Amino acid sequence: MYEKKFIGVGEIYIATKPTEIITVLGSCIAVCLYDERLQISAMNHYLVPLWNGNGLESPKYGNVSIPKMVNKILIKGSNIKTLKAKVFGGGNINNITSPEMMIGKKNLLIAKEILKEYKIPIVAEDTGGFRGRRIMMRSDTGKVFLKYTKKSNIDD
Amino acid sequence: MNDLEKLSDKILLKEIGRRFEEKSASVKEMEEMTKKLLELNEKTKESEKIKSQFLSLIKNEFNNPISSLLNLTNSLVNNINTDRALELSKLINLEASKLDFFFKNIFAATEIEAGEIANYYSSINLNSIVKDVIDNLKEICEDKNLKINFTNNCHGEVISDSEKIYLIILNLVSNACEYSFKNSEINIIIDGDDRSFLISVEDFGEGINSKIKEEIFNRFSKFNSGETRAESGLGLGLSVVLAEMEALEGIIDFQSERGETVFNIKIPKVNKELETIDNSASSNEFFFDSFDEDEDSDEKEF
Repeated sequence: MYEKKFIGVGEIYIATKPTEIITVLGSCIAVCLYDERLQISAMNHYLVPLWNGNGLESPKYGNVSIPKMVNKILIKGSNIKTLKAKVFGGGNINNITSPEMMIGKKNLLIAKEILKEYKIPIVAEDTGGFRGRRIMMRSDTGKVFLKYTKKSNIDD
Repeated sequence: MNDLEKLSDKILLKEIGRRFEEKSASVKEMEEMTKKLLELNEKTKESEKIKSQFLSLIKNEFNNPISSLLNLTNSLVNNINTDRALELSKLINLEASKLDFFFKNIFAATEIEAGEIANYYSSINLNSIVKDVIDNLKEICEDKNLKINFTNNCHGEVISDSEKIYLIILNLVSNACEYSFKNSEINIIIDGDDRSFLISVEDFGEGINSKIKEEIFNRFSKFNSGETRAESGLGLGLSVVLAEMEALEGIIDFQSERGETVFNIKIPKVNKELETIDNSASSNEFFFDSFDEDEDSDEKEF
């Protein structure tokens, strides 16, 4: 029996017990980490790529969220060498000429850069496009199930 | 090649137009980025300064209440059977709630920064939350002879995260008290409609200088003109308020004119079904009901 956990913007969740971690993405990105040896997983959900240094150093920023998530899963006993990543979201939900132009692309870029730095391989991704996504990850197997939204009306 | 032939001129032109738009947006974006880079550079220079200030601030903020607590408990021990005991206990309670407030903000900031901001929904009692807040600020109100007026026009059940709402209101009202002129009034008004509830906190004091309007939600930023407020506080309050408002998907704004400052917050009401006992699949998921549920046509597995 799986526990269920829904995460929103700016959350990081580490599942050490079998959990179905669920989130809904527009231009946001969720990075899923899976440790096969320990059968534990982590998921985050960030809104924009970079922290501007103004507000709190919250994980709604990619460059804050991903390193914090990696640290948290390492604390649970995971090894950076055995971690695998799956990346979702980063859709082009808003009009490309809006001020938040191509936020999805930038979000994705940050995820790839940071994961590369950690040398964590991205084994699967479903990113970009014009639709929102709902993803559900089973923490014990690392499997991710994805559904698209019908309309592109989600703005996070 | 077949695909190419199928493309009409119209579609091609549209695509070219789109790419031009994308390009000009890119250029604009780059200009923005350069500006931001400059800003960030300045911020880096400043951050070392803030760090050292923060440590000494923490020292002051905690040292003072703790030493008063120690003194007060000592006198309480000596006066335990006298008339002063009650008065001393009240003072101890006040000092302790001051410390509690500081810690609440620090813990909230820590939790936000750690990505632990899940909402715990339950039926909340706005009247008693505001009453707790006013109780917590009794001392400063007596000190400055402030009168807090509270009107609640929001009837019916409200479901939200009570801890977050409490801390948001506490921070706003505490700020209002700090920046009020002596002998003035503070108005807390709660309103509500079907979809959201609104809380406004109004004070009459030195107001918010338009120069710093952009910065008040930044962490560790504190402002005092010296008129109403001694150097105190950690500068965390409004940054915590903003982050918790975001977690609740609410909006916060403020106006400040001629010494009259009003903070307005608007928080969407949550469905009864979302009341979370075990914090299972909660929150926003239900707002997005437009997923492709037909067959498994669109479900993918990774």
